[in-house]
Amino acid sequence: MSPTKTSSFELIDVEVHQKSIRNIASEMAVTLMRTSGSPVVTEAKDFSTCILDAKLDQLAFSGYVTFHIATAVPGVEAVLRNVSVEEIAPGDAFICNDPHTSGAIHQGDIGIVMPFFHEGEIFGWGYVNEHVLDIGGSAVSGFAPGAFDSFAETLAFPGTRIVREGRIDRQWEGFFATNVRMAGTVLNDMRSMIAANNAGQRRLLAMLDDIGLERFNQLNDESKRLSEEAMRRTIAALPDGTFESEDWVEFDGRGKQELHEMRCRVVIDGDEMTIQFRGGPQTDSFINGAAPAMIGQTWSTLLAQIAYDIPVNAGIWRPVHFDLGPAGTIVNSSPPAPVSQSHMETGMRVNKIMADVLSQACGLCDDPRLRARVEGQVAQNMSFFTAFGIDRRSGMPMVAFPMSVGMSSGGPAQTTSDGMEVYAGQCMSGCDMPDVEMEETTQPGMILWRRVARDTGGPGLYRGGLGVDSALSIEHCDRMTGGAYTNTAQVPPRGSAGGFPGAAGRWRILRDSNVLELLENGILPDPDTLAGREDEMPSKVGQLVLDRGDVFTVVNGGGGGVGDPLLRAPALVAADVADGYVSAEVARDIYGVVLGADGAVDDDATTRARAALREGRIGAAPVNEVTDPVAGLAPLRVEDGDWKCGICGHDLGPESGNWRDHAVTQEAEISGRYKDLRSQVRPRTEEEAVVLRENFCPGCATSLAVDVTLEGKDPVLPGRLGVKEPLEEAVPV
Amino acid sequence: MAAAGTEIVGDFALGVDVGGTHTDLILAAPGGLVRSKAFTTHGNYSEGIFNALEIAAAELELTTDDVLPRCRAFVNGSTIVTNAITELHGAKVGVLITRGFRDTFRLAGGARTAEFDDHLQVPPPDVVDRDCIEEITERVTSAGTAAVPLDEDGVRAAVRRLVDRGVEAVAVCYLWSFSDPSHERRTREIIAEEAPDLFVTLSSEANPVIREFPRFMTAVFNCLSHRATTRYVDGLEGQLGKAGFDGALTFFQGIGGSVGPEAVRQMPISLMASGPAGGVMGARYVAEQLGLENVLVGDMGGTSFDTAVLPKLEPTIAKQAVFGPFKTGVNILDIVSVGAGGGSIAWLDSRGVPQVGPRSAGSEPGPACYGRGGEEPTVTDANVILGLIDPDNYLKGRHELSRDAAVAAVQGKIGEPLGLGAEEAAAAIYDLAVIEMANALRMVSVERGHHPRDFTFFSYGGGLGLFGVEIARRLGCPRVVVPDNSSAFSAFGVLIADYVRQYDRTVNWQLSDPSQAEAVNAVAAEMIEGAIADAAQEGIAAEDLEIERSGEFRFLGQVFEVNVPLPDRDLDADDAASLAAEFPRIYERNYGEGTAWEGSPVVLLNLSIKAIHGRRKPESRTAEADGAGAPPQPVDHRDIFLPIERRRDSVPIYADADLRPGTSVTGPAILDLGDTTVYVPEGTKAERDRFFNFVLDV
Repeated sequence: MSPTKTSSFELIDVEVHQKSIRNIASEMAVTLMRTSGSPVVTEAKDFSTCILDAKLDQLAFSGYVTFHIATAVPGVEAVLRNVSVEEIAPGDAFICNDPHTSGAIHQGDIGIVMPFFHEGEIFGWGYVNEHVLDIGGSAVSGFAPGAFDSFAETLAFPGTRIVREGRIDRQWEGFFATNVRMAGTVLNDMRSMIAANNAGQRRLLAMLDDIGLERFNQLNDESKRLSEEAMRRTIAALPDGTFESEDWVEFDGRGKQELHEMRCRVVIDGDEMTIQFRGGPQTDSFINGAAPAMIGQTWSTLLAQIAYDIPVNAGIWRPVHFDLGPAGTIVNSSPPAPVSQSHMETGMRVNKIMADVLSQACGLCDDPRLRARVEGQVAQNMSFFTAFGIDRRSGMPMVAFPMSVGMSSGGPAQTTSDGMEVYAGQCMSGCDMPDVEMEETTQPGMILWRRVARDTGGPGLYRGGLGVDSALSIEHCDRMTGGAYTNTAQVPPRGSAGGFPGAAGRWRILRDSNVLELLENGILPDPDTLAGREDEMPSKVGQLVLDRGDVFTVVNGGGGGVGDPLLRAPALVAADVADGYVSAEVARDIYGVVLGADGAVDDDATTRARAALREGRIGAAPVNEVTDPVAGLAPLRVEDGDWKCGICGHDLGPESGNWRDHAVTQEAEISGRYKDLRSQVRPRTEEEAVVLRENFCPGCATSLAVDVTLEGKDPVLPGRLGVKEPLEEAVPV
Repeated sequence: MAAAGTEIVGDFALGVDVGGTHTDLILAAPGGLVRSKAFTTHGNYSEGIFNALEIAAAELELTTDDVLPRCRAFVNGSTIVTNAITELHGAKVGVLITRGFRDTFRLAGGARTAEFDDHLQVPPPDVVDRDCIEEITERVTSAGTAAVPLDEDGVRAAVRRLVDRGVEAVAVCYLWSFSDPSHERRTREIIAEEAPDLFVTLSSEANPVIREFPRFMTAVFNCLSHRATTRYVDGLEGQLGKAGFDGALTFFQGIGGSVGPEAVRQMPISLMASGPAGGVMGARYVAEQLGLENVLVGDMGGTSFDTAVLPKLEPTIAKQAVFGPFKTGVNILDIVSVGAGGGSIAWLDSRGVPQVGPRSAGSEPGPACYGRGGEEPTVTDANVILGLIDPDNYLKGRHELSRDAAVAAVQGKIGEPLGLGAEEAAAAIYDLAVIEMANALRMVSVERGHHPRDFTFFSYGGGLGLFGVEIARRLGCPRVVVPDNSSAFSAFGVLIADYVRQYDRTVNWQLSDPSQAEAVNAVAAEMIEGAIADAAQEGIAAEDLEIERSGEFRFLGQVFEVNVPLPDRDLDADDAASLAAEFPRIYERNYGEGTAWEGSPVVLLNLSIKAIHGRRKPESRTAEADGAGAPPQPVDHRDIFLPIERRRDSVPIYADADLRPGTSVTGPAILDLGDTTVYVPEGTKAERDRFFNFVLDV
């Protein structure tokens, strides 16, 4: 086979081979799902499988959790730092779970590495990555809000051999049994991970029997090249230039509710892309990001938004360059920084910031396929608790991890559709929402309600997906201890292309509630009948105590909208009101749609309301008319060296400047403005108020961008086409 | 087959498969089977059925009026429920649901797909109008206690509102109703008082199993499909009655057996996915005749390829079948479907690599070679270019095909971008279609712990004969059977169907506690009593009913279950102990050594009862397989571009009538069976057995 040009028949062989390898990674995943008992695997799909070749190049990845894309290579590298290849025997397996040393996105997601042997030589590696129910230490289920350093978080394995001849070493079994909560379940999960790797090894050996090792490697290399070229073509279709955004990782769980700044700059240069992150100093709490989660989460968004159709292997990595900046920051933390929510705090901000940057680039793109990939930010809101207690019915230990309550946040609006409810994290492809009856079987009490939360989806021409409002009572344990978290309370997900942000998430605890008493008296506990004491709590609590009779309630966040809500078809707004997704007030005040008593659109009143809203936005009747609402999906363009409104053509100044300087901007403290939006955000009591800046075209009063930023902060720079300006002090990963 | 014109003694039976395009029919006449095909007549399906019957009867020089009065059985398979559910088009449904959970259908158990693409992550469609979902105050707890009583006045008011909104059917969907169905049952009584004409489905009857979303969806889909089904069943029953039919009319279900009209009217959802199930049951029957142990089956249609595995000739059941974004509790034969049919479109992906399907040109405009405006290259176009299909004699000349149009499409969209000639491009499409199908077979076999080398591949459906051997070769499967009546094989499978009904109930028995045995036995007794009563409704006596018991087991804390057969008697403490001891081994047989959860308690989650009543089977045609006479001679030769060898060859064509039982041909060869073509690749021997099946050694 020639190294540069594959003949077309070879192409088919390569594709057949690629599909077979991908099929083997899927079989590993199916084996894991079928043998695992953990709802974290079967419902939340919080796992992945990966196959590497002897060069440690990725051959196939069955992402369910897409951020695991970045764990296998550093995991195997860690193993090889600890033992030489000669010391590794068939049937060995190693455990990796340390973000600082062995590639994990956080310690709760353990990786089991197995070498694949063929005729006495290692020809590849299997890597199964899974969130286990617990991995010891102060962290319940891998989340350690109380720890001040990584040593206090969990057990940490830098790539340690715990399996020989296919069975977990008995000494290690004893070690896990004494150090891990729910050790039986966790050991069973490890056995499932071994079984999954075994399934991969069996199938690959059968393949080698068929085609031989040389051909195997040849086909793999060719397949990587094909993916690389496709990734390069995708990048090349984006406009050359420099694009950036900023965001804030919230409160680290202690003391003052600080915001931790992070920035992202993406430089697109031909068919290559450099992605740079910079952030504030690392903290002594679990929000710090480490490289595996930073890189893995970047890929989660790249895969969901622009690279969704390219088979994942080492090839797609080649044209993408990462730079996490100097060590010691929240985007590139060093030991002993705690990192047990590396993936959910700084990591989940990465998805938001990347969606913003990519949407800016896509919005200015000539290629229609990529221009349609503008999307809102995902809610990315995990509002939940993990806690440990003793089940009073059986006397057995119980770990609470109520996924359906925590993950049910809204998806980003697309240019083709409203966002989806229960989208969960962007990295969680295939994620299911456990049934109420399953949650009530495994969790400490009753799900009292589970409803979509009206007005939580960011308004827009396409609306963001809604968050879910649900409640769980504590009934089966007298007391549970652990932590409660939300990663997006004060800085909500933004919209794109002038769409509005979605709601932030919020959990509450109703103490000493009447829930058990109501049920004893045959009364349904619902928001009307339920009573109790609500203590003021910060958005993260490391020392959570829940007592029997408490109720944990969550209203999850929603996804960001796409396009100006005034451009949404009035009939769709009326349907949203009838369906209970949008309130009549938001329909009137934000969408400018007035409904009659029968719920139908009042056309005349709507025309008047929309005109009035436009006038209110820019302080005068707009001079230009809006004729094509679809143009609202790309409201900015560069023409003849100037920024132009994509809807009415109004000039917004030279392309070297910030078009915002030529727009009409209205700024408001966010919690105040969210009252109009009937949406949810946690007000800040400290300095650095979060504000909403709405930027309108002076010509047609269309919303061009709604910025979520801090009071007094300079507006973020818009994309600079043709300018290739990476941040200084580049520190390539 | 009886010779035309002679007096036919004995009775007839009919199997009919009403598909999306064609209605296939097998008429079992004394002495043999006659098959026929007519276009499906949407709107009034009976018309298409009668058309097909007329054609079949005519082959015996009879008329419909001669045949129907002498028919002892009419078994009907149809896509009517499948259509209602895939198109979400049916009766206007109302839902009564536990207060606090009206959004269950919107949340859909999480509709996020495993695809990375954000454009595919869209809200699921509304099966029930949002204003037809009424919340009812009531609550049963996880312990099975009715903690909050049913608000009967609330039910009454809600039903009146639903009736005002024009609802035709109501699904009653309460949490934990499988463990205490009293609230759902009382609700039905109230509905009967308020609106006696409403069709009502209780989730606790449709699927009395834990997990509310699939259970509720089962009830909702049952309601959605009831109107079209009732109309269809009533219509067919009436028309057949008028034509003098007084045999047993039954309907084929997705689980593989057939039941009578009344059962279908109550539980139309049982007809879901019945189409592909027919062929599976037919293959099982033929495999039994041939004394085969393990079979894999494949059926290739215009848009999809369906496949299933039958280890020891036992079809596996998919619990909780998923339709579109919706999980249900419907039990159907475990059939995997991929988008690789004759109409599947070949295209180049973002890497410039050719792909086949899942998009299909369907029957309109159809493949480019149909000449109806289709411009996309399809699998059928590739077959025409290769010469595997004779464009001048397609389906006995009923369709004329344009090779030029096929070349233009394949060459333009695939050949030129890749720098290939039309034939090479067509070979690439053929190859990729083989891979798609082989991977689907792999999903049902290898991924479930079965090795294809231990299996015979049953290949049927109009188009699969061209691919069967190459697919088997990819899998390491040693033998392919193309059964007699391959082109109407689903109708054949429907015809030989037994009476089968399946019942499931969640019992959640932790085997370490033998004291629960009695309660579980009581549930089993109740289920069997119900099964006997249902059978009696169809005139089947209790002593003629075979009961198969099985259980779905798992280790405590697991989410998926493994089905294990149970003895047909009450269970006691000894059974509990031996089942608990046995289970880890059964589990490891499925998932590999070292995977059992050592030390975890074993739970019998769900009890399943299958009630079966064997029905009389028609006679298949047989002949002495003596290979008497001269070896078959080709009727023609055709230039074919051998798709795997990638070279042109003049290939002999054999006609059906010349291929007598006991004779064989060696590839490359084409067997032209009129409505099916079989491609025998180089080095493969195809032999016709005494049942007129072709057996090909790969």
